[in-house]
Amino acid sequence: MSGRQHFQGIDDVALFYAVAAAALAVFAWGLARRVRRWRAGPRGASVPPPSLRLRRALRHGLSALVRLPGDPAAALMHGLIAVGFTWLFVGTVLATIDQHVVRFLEGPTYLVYSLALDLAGLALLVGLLGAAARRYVARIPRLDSGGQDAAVLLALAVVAGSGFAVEGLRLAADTSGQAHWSPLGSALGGLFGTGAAADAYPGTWWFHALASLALVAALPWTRLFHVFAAPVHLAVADEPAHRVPLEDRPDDAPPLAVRDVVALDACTRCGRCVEVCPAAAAGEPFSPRAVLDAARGVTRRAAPADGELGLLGSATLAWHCTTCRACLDACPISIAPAAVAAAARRVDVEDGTRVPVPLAETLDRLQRYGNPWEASRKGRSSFHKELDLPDLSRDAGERLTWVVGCTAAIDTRARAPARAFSRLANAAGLTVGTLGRKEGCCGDVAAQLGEEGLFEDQAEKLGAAFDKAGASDVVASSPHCLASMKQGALAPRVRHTSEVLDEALADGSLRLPRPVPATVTFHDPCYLGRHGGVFEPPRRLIDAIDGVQRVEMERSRQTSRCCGAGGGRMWVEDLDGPVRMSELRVSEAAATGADLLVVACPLCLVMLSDASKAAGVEGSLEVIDLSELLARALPEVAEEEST
Amino acid sequence: MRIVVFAKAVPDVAEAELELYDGEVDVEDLVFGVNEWDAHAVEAAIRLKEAHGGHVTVASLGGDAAEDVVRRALAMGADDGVLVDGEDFDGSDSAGVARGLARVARHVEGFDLLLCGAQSADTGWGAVGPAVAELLDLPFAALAVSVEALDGRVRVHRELEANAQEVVELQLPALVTVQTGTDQPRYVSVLGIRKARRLRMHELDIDDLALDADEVGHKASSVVSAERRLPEAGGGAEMLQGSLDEVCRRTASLMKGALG
Repeated sequence: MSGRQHFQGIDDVALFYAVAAAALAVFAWGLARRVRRWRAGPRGASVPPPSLRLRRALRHGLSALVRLPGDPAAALMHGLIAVGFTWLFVGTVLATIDQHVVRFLEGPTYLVYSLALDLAGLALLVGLLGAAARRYVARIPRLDSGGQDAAVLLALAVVAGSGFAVEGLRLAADTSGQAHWSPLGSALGGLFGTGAAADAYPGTWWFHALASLALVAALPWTRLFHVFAAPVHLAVADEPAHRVPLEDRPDDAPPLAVRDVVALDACTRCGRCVEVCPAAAAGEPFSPRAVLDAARGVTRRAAPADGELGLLGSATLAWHCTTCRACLDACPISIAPAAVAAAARRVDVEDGTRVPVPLAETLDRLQRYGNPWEASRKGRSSFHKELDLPDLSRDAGERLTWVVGCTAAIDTRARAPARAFSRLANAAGLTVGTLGRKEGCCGDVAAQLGEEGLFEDQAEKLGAAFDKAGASDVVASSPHCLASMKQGALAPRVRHTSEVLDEALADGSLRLPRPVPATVTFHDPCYLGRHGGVFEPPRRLIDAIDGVQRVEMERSRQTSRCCGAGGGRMWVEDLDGPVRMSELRVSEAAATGADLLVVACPLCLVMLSDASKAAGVEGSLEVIDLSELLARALPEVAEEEST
Repeated sequence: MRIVVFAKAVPDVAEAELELYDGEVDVEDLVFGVNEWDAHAVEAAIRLKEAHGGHVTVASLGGDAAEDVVRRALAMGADDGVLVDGEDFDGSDSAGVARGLARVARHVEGFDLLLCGAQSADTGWGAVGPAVAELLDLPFAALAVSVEALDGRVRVHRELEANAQEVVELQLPALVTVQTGTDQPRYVSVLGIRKARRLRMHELDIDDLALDADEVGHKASSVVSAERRLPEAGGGAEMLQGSLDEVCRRTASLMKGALG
């Protein structure tokens, strides 16, 4: 029985090792450059300990090979290439061990080894064909092919193809009678005459060797580097973003966190983020991928970041993002383009000259008035007075502390759901109080706009008001307040109004006896759903109403589409594309045939109400808040008084 | 180029309900900020410095709100801040304020350019700039929408009615008053203000400025305010009050009435 033959018929083995050493040196140099860039990011609580990182890199990295949910064709293509490539690489390493360390590639082991390598090569070639077909025949729109994509596919195909050629030429002269363990290679070998094969062998061998080594050397310099960067990103990505207070950050702290710098190398530009981005869907000159591309371009320049146009090399790119998080959830390796956009905003805010004027004015209003609507403290608290609930800032007590929120306290349309919640809470016997005049902004708008100092000031003030009022159980009308108060850890327990009402429904204290005959569809607000993880409580409440039939939109729950108000977009219209995001969403709701579009966020309410008028569906589709819908199902007031 | 900018704190009255007590506006519930024209002057000064190098001093006259104005200018990139104690200037007319500011400018050795807003949002005389130029015997241009530095001169685009512009050139040192058409003042972050707290600010009073108490304030004022008043709610207008539904019903009935 034969074993693995090394350098059969190749004279200049020393030259091969010299070239291989050079290729590995170029690889190591490229790798070191990338890793150095990763390590330049701020170190901190967001990077888990090494042992955990390694476990995650292996576990997530391996699963990401084929984990492309909802896209089996892509998963198959990627799996074939990845497994084929990896096994061919492992095979080469085993051959080296066999030659220099311990000889084991002989007998049956060698035959299985031969067969496996043959199949790996086949898998790689089929995968590459699939990839090329997806890119250049099916032309899947999100793929956005550039020169590098074709070059990488071609290089891999050349390496695999020349490998088969070498094998075929060798097997053409094989007399062991076991060539059928390399079915592809021997089939190819059958095409050559023995003599011609022997002549062509050394040249082909060198071609394959040099092509393979060139590919190794090029790895860290191309997008193929994602095979290293993606597992590393996965290892550090799902740490909760731990916010380091401004005063604990050194003045020269780089703008991007480690995981975001790694993300720039891990991104393969597959475009799943582009497909789900509401701003991109509305035709705005923006996409999450464009953010990563821009940041990659700027951070790789010799003198990065502090140039005229900031972290993204653009005056507006950072400001389109609604921070809706759809891109993060769509990315197979959990890259967060919104985090990169947020970093760019922070850079722009500190610079001051690149903030779009309406947003700079919004931030100014927040600084001066403590709310984004330019309402005086007196004007803002007049609504709290109207609600006539106990003022916990004056008289602390064991009550649910309701943060009405700036928009619900000031905007005429958004006040209605707040009144409705007050009725519901009363009907359910909940003991609710507010902070009255002491209720300030939660800091959400500042946080989303990258104004971290202002966020800290506002969060601190609200936190102090909570402490003084002894607030341990807080409920927010707005999912934005919810997210912001959770981020700032301002109170031990923070919930959304829908969660509190859901609990009251479950324990029987909230009764909804009046039927509301209507077909309704529920719009998951980004900050309640994707950010807050609250998907079912609003649906349970809706389903509890007699006569209501709930239908779902094409994009709902985890894949819900932003109304266009997030990320401060509520306060800037200049960035709107040919269609408005809110109109896209309203059209989607209208397509369900529902009578009511139910939201659970004051910003969604304002945005989608306006859009329903603009889209001309106002007559057939009413936009209302969940609290308003539930209040319609409460017993009639007279009834309530008589019981 | 050494530039001195004069800036003033004014109350924001866009959404406020003004109330008068004894002829004085009640400022208790009002929010103060930088006079918009002056913010543009500060931005213009900092852009000149960024383009040509130099040094920017920002001076304000008043109390805590004026201190905030200087602090924000320092956060925008000014190098030096001067806060003039406003107490002695109570009741000053434009000439009185100009006397104080002219002395501040003299403190800045070898200044080339003085900038200030064309007017203030609260008192609106539009006279302090020209008065300072007069006191220091400087050439001046008013209502600038752009200021370019040339060798020893400035070229100023002045905004006239009907979008017409006049371009003038002034020999330095000179004074220019700025319109709001210049570059948008940059945003000042809370972190920027925090950092600016570490920068020094010179605090001066009339003694430091070598002014006598009777050169400023009420006594020196050539204009006496006889009365201030707020407009009466006129006829023909009705402010609709109440809930959204009530407002809508009332609007609908008014429209029906007007049609019928």
